[in-house]
Amino acid sequence: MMHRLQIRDLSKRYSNGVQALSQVSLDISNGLFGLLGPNGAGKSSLMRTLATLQTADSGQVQFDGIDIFKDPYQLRCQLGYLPQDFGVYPRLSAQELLHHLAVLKGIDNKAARQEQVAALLQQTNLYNVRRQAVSTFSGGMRQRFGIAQALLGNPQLIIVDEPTAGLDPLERNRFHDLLCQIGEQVVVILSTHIVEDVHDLCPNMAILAGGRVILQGKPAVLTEKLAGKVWQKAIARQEVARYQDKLPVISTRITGGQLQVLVLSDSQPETGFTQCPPDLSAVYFSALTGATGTKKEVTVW
Amino acid sequence: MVKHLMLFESRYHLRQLTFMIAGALFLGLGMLIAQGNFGSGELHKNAPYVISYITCMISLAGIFVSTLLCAQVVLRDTTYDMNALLFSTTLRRLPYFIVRLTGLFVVVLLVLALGSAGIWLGTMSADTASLGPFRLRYFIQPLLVFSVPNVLLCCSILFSVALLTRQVRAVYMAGVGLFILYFLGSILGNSPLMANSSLKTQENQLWPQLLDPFAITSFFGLTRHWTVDERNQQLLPLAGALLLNRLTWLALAGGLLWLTYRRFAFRLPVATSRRTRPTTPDSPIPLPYHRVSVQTTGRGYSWRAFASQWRLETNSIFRHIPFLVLLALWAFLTAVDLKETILHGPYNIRFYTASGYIVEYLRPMRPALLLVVFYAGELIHRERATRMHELIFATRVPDTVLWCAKTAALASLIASLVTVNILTGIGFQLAQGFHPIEWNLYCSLFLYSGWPLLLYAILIGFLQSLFNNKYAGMLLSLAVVGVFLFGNRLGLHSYLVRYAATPLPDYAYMSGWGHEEKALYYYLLYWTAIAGLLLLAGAACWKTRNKGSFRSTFRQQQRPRFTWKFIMTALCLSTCLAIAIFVRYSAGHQPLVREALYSWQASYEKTYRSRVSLPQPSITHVQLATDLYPGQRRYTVRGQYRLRNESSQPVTTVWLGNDAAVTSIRYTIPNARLAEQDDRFGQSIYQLGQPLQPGDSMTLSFTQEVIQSPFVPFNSEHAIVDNGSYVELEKYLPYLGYQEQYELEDAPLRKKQGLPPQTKLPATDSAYHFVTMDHVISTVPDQQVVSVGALQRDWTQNGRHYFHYQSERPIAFKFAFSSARYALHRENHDGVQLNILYQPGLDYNIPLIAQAMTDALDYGSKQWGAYPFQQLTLAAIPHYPGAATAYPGVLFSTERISFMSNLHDSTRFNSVYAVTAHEVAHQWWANVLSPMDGPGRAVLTESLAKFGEYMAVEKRFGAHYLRRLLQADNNLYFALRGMDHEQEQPLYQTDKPYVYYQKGGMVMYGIKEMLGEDTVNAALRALIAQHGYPASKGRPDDLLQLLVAGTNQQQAAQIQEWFTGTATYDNAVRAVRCDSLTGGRFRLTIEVQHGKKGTGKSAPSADTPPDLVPIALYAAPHITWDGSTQPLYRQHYWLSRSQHTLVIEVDRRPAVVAIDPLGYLPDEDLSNNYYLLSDTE
Ligand SMILES: Nc1ncnc2c1ncn2[C@@H]1O[C@H](COP(=O)(O)OP(=O)(O)OP(=O)(O)O)[C@@H](O)[C@H]1O
Ligand SMILES: [Mg+2]
Repeated sequence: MMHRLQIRDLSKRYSNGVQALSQVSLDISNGLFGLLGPNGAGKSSLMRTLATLQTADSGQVQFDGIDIFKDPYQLRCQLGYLPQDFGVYPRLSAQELLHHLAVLKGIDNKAARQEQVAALLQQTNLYNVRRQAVSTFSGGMRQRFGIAQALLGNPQLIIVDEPTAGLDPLERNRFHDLLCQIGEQVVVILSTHIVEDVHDLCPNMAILAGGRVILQGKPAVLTEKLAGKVWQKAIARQEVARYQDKLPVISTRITGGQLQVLVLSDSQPETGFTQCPPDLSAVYFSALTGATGTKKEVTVW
Repeated sequence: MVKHLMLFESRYHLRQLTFMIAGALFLGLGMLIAQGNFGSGELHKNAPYVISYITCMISLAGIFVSTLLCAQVVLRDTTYDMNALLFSTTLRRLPYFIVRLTGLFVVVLLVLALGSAGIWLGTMSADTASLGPFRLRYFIQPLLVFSVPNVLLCCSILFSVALLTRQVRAVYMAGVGLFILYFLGSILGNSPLMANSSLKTQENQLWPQLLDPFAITSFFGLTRHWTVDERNQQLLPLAGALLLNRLTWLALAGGLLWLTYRRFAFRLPVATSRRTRPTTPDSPIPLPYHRVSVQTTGRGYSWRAFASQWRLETNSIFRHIPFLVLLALWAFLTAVDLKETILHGPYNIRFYTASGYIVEYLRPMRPALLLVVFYAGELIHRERATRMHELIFATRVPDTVLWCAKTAALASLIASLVTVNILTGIGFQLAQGFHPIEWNLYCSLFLYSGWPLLLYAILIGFLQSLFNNKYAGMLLSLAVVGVFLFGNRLGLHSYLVRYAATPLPDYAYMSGWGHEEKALYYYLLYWTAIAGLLLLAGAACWKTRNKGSFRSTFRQQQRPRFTWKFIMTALCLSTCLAIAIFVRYSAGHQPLVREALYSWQASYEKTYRSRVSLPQPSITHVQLATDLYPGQRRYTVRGQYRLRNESSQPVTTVWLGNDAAVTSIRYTIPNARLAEQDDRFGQSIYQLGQPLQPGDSMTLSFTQEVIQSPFVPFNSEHAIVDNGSYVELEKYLPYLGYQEQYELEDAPLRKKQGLPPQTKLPATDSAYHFVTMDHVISTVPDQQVVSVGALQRDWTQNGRHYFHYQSERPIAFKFAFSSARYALHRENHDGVQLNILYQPGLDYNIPLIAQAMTDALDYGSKQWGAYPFQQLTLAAIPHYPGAATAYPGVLFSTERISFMSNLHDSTRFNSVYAVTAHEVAHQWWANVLSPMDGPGRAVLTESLAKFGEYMAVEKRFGAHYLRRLLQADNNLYFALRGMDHEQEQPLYQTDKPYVYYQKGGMVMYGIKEMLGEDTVNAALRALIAQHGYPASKGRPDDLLQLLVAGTNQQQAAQIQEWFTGTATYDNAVRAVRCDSLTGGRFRLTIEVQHGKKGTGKSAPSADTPPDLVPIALYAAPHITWDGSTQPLYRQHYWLSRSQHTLVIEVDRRPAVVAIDPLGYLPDEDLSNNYYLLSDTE
């Protein structure tokens, strides 16, 4: 299938000198696309740029063959965007605001507008509070409002920046459901810090760090590649530094109160290490250490 | 801790862009005002009075700074969502309160102090001749007396509102409310800053002074009567009413702060929102989500987006309780102001509450600009401020649509204010129960005041679009708006350079908005075109502000397209260019602004003064044929002068000139050749083929045409309008020789134009040059023409209405005419035909006017000599600089004052009667007797007409009714003297109206009180006999000699002093004992204070002559006096010392003792002229 969204060599430098994106190239087709990356990696910057809310310094982005910087309006009428952080006009109810945004998005038929707004309110479980001012919503409720507005109209490109932040587990599941359902016909780009979500939802993903794409592919394939290479061992806290010096440590984590160190290696690195099945977070951490650490030899692909 | 907080707070304040801009603006403002027109004449530019005045004004402007800084800095935690962090620290209530308040106060004060520094800088650059000594305390004292308490008051109110509501908008509303409070204060306190307040006459009362929160009333009230010297040397002492005012408001501020401290919530503000109706937790069958098709092109989409955004924005304005409160306050202020303005004209005149006058008054809506500035800042930065911008801007909606929606929301705000104004006006009319409500006039307010406000809203929006910081934008907007509003004083004279400025014609029922209405539309269109450009520019700037840098957006817009934006830009540009060119062209070479006129006058003097002594013939007969075309704003005159050489030398050249308002003129002089022609000044000099010998005559013919451009400022003496044209034709006919009246008189202006101080030409010609006249005037068929002379006949021919006027006897060279659809009231009075021509329908005052005319005619004929004509006509005209004017046998009187004054309230003085009598008296004192040119000439016209006016009023209504007029003139004399910044000249050589009108009339009345009415009138008859036409013209000295003749030495000295001195009185009286005697008689011991000011000595002394002062006792207190009041006792005393004790016996119990009870001796404080005896004494 053709790639609907093509990003070529996108770079962005803010006026304070921060290079938020450098030479980012991605090809994305219909379905959910996960973006992972540490804080400050440039995920939001990339998404804002794709939403044409800011311009890039160089590079090209085409959506359905149209250059989005040359004709931002063409993109915007098929865009659904949920920013990482947003506010709303005070003293307006969820319903009023959704109606307003629906008008701005160009739903000209009143009945269609009403139906879609009602549907979205129900899907995001806000129907019962639809007359309450959004500015008095709880954090999670507001986030759901954000999701609802991103889906208004006829979005072909949905960009959601940490959509599940603040959602309770039930709401999160509900949202994932909705997203998968929609994702079949449109492009959905989703950034998150919950690696499992990407694993569960996204057929494709990329990891961003320091403004660069350091890894991209299908989560299953990437995880597969690490099969048999991840080793773990329970150690004492003071030993961490020693291991980090000696071995290609990708992460440490605590399970059941025990400090576990994960190491990437083709064979058992030391006695006491046991092999463990790789998961996507191992891919994530190994990618990060590979990109940021000095031990270039631990490349696994 | 507190110290650290304080430092942090002040650093935070000082780092604000708003503070920096405000500081710079105030420094500039101080300099600008100091360099402005303050301190003209003998008043120093750095006089303590001037500095205090400016400091007062600047402290008012402090309201804006306090509002903005309070909203920005005090509410910063709310704005930036820092509250949660702040309130969870260990910060305590009291330090928080004190630090925030002090920070605000100190910073605002600092800004005002910068203003004072600006004044100082401004005076530095002034001409040293106009400066007095520099004293630091002149700057510090007003700062302490006015600025500190004012700032404290403003800050306390705003701070309290901020803490109690935690809403930025509520703070704005409070700011505007403070401004309204100031307006109320100045209306009630009769501040001279308000229109036509100076002519209102009021004593300094305590209440208005106390009620004014900014003490401006006190400042003006207490300094109103200060002489130039006092203004140059004195500071207003902080005592009495002023001190009380300051303490009251400080106490109020303190109380408010204390309350706020007790009440304010030192925790997270709970978001207030509309109560949410609990929606039934229905669980409907879940609707599935579908994408729906969108339509994001075409007009329908833009329109829907616009409407939706507009609705949200307007709701955000109107669904806000403080705003509604403010609207109510606004309506209240308008009503109070209307009441004060419509019901209290000069001399306490009260007008009928006619729609036209109310609409005229409601038209300027400057305070609304404040609201526009605040709301523009709020609306334009709303997306960013609420952090909703990413949601909105990620949609397809074009920025222009959003921008227009915001502008439209501002337009709705403006429309609501205009509507409130209209409703208030209508409510006021209904409450007063007068006149039909003229809806079309009221609705025109949307155009006349709403539209310019909208233009301003667009400008302000554009300014805001240049800033990321809305407070900086607001401040800049305020400054720019200020520059344009007061542009006329800053050198922006033309309407083409003053944003949204148009002429503001006055309303008259005769002529509607009159001459300048058309110009108004052109200027509005011009500024609308410019606003169109600003709208586009604003949208574009706002867009770049929302999306990163200029450069990148520029890249987006690479393809130049001929979209509607280009078309609109081109259209706007060409419209304003076309109008600008049209305005210039249409005005011909007439100066459009005052500055151009000044340089024209100066050049005229420089070019022609040298030829002043060129001998010229005099005009002896005038034959005119005038055709008036009101609809075309045009008239033509075909005329002929008979010229006679009345000098002793032969005349070889005829030097002709015409006024700049004359569009074209052609002269025909037989047997003469045009030697020189100067189009700029309209001068033509003809060389006569044969010199005109002394005593010989010749004929001059001319044809002239006047086409009046609506862009030339309205001249009420040369008004051609659809109905109610009025032309003082003699000023626009050809004249001979040098015209001294073109010379600039104002000394600083002369200096600016590079002219030496003016030297008046010595008046040598005392001969009357009266002429005979024959005048045929035609106008449109349904109008009538009123002019000088006896109407021979009128007829209609070729669709025009002709009138033939002819002089019955030689008259002065004065030929004014008016043309209108008149109704006629005619009476015959002792062989004189009285005509009153008025606007049909406005006939309320006709009987009274007729009464005044006959009374004054009778008085004059009996006392001064026969009335010289067969008829006396009074015609209504729409406008005139004064109330009315007198021509030989004709009076022209303004519609509003004469015909629309409401005389039903008999407790008010009837000034229509007085004005009419005054103009009738001019038939003698201007037309029978004319003064010779020279200083003090107006004494023989205005002072004597004023005397006639007083006498007519006294005869008709009684002396104690006249008292109101005398006291009003007394107050007016001091008020106008206070506004004139030059030393007063004595009556007999004055050229100041307040001296020859008010004081002159009072002096004449005083002489009448001293010598008796008959003696004075005998002297006046003698004056006419010696100097009336055709003898030689009179001088003030002649009057003085005749009055003094036959008097004793004391009386002569008194008359001399009144004519040749400038002293004023400080009289007071007090009863010390009142004993009841047997037989119901009472013996009163009274103490008289007799002070005299302006003689160089503080008290009367041996070398000043005694003054004749009446002292009287009355049975009823003076507030109850009316025309029929008679004193129990009245006697004139010669007072020579400053203290006198008198014992008087009367046979009824007196209620009040009075010195100068009628108030004809100029006395600043008339209230202590009366002493009420309480019953127990
Ligand atoms: N408006 C801005 N001006 C200047 N620098 C910015 C701006 N926005 C982001 N940055 C910088 O750009 C870099 C990338 O920021 P970005 O918000 O894209 O990261 P992110 O991947 O979304 O991080 P997070 O996971 O924390 O949301 C950061 O270093 C940030 O400081
Ligand atoms: Mg982010």
